[in-house]
Amino acid sequence: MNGMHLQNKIKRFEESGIIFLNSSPETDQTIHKMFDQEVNMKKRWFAGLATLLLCLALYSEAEAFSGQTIQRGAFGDDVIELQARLQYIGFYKGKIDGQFGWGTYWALRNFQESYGLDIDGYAGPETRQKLVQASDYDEAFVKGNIENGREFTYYGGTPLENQVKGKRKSEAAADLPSGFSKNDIQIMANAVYGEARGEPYEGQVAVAAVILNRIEDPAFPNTASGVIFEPLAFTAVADGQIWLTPNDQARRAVLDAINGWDPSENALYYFNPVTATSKWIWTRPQIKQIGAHIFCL
Amino acid sequence: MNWRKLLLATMFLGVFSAVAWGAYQQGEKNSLQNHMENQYQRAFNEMAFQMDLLNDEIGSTLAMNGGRNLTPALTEVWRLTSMIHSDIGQLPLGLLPFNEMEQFLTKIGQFSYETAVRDLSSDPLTPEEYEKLETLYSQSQELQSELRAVQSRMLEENLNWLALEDLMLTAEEQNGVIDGFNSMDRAVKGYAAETFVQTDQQSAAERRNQLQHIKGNKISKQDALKVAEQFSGDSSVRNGEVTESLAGSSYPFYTVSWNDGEDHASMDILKNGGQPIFLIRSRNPGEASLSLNEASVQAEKFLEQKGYKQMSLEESYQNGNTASFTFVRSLEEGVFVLDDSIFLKVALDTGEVLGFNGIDYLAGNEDIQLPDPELSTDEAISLLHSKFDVQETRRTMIRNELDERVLCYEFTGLVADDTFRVYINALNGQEEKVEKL
Repeated sequence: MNGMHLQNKIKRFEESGIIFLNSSPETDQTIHKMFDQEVNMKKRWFAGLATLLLCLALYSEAEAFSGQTIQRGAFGDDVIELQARLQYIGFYKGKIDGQFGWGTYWALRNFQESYGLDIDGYAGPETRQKLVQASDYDEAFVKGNIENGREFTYYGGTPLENQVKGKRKSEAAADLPSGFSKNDIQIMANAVYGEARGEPYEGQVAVAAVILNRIEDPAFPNTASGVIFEPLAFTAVADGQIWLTPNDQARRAVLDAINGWDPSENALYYFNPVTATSKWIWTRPQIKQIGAHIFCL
Repeated sequence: MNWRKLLLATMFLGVFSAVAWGAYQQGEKNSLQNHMENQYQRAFNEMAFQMDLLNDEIGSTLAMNGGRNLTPALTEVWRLTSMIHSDIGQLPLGLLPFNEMEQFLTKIGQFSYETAVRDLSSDPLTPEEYEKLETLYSQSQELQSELRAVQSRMLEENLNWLALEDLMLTAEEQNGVIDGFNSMDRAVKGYAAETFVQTDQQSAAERRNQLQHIKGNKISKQDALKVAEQFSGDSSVRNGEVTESLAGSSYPFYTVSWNDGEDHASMDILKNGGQPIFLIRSRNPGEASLSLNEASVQAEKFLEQKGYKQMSLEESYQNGNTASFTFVRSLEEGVFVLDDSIFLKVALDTGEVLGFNGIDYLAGNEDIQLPDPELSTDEAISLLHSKFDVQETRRTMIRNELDERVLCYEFTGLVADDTFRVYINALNGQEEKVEKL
């Protein structure tokens, strides 16, 4: 029984690559004695090493991550590190892109589960510390590849040079609200800028909201481009002003509208009372005026 | 006298090139106009043709007696309505009251879709539905003939759409074709009312009425300013401007807008009761110094301060230097009411609340009687697809397709690498909604 125990011990040590021993049942007795001493010594040595490592880990924890709790929806360097570390130990298989999406969320939860932490999907201090201990993070490699737009992975145990796969094809914008592509938002920002660039901010959001209300309304086309390019629907489309380059504010107005703000209070039309040529538009029930535009049903 | 010849030659050359350039431009313009006109013509004539097909197809469904042929025929009706719809979208009818026509088509489409996806062999058309088809047939026949009349008038008089487009913009002169469209639309208005009962109202129309039920003491403009100042915490609101909603709004409200330094802010407040509908600020925040997590704490604090109780953070995301948060109402029983949501936007540089959107919360906030679930969680899980790997489970109230609140088990989980959310009705086990996240 003791022999079995010792064999296991030796096997463990052999596996961990610390000592190499060719043992046979005959040498058991001698080795046993020798080994107990050695193990005791090693125990003390290991304890010292462990303390040192812990200190190091705590130190590098301060170095690694920025010390903030990371939650789903976050974006940035902390998320890149989180994804890279989770991938290093095999929990995260997706793209390292700095977007804390569902893939990262499940990876983090699985990590928390197998390391006996509270499974909450938040990368708090304890989780981050455990993660830093369990993994390695080559910031230069990861960030370099992201900056150069290369497709790559970061699994521990595989040589890094084998994990770079060349240029990424297209940048999928994951920071956008669901249901709209980057291009849809671009077209809408163009329309908002062309139609309402001189208007107050809420007037621009309202124009974007009218586009969205039309997409939802059965009497209008069901896509952003269908609504915007419907003949005679928008003057900016008719006179080509839609092709001006929109500014950042127009883009933000579109995002706000997509996120549910509707300063037009459910309008489907709007017009400028000074320049409107259509008589029919005056017959629509009017909701409110923002800047130069009257919004109506 | 050589210079005279030279001058003459240059002048001749100048005039010639001007004429040539003009002719070239004219040609270009004409070809562009033709191109445009042809596109309009194609859309219009295609629409007229498809209207014929639609009429025929509805007619043939009347003669059919079984599910086997009826399902493809109804699917064809559905497809045709969406084709006509898309053709109308390409015509310059934007300023013409052609809405009724489009709404009518959408309703036919919905009706045919709903009946087509049903298993008609076990659940055949009811007498009412058959009657509906009969009316639709006669109505589409009338529409078809009116459209044909307009089409032939256009062809006879050789009218083009580009000229019509100008007429429609001004709508000053009366024109046979425009009148034709107008009368078509008026006719359709009647059809939609007689064929489709009020219950299949459109979501957009419902959305307009969503705040009508809120009763409360009418507040004055001064009160609105006070509400805005308290809610935003800005003292500059005092110099702001208050305007009233116009007569066409289905619920009266005040709009308060003010300038805060270089930034602009605006807020809508219900006249009945004085609840804030939304707040929005134009500020573009600078370099982020707060994390998403810290901002979410700020957002929670804000809601609590403003008296929104029992709200729990549902979704958060960071977009550049702003953070967006969705809060939903959570009942004491541990049920999340997903429709009663509040959306907040927080600047990541200062933690200031840049936007508040409470319209869904206002529309839905009512006492909810929770029914007792008939199914246990395990029973609900057994109804899921076998490849769906459940990760999280909770109980939620959502609105189903009929716009009723239903108690559901919400399962979030994975199919391969994609995350899905499935809602199983806790009373009857129906799969109410499936979302890909």
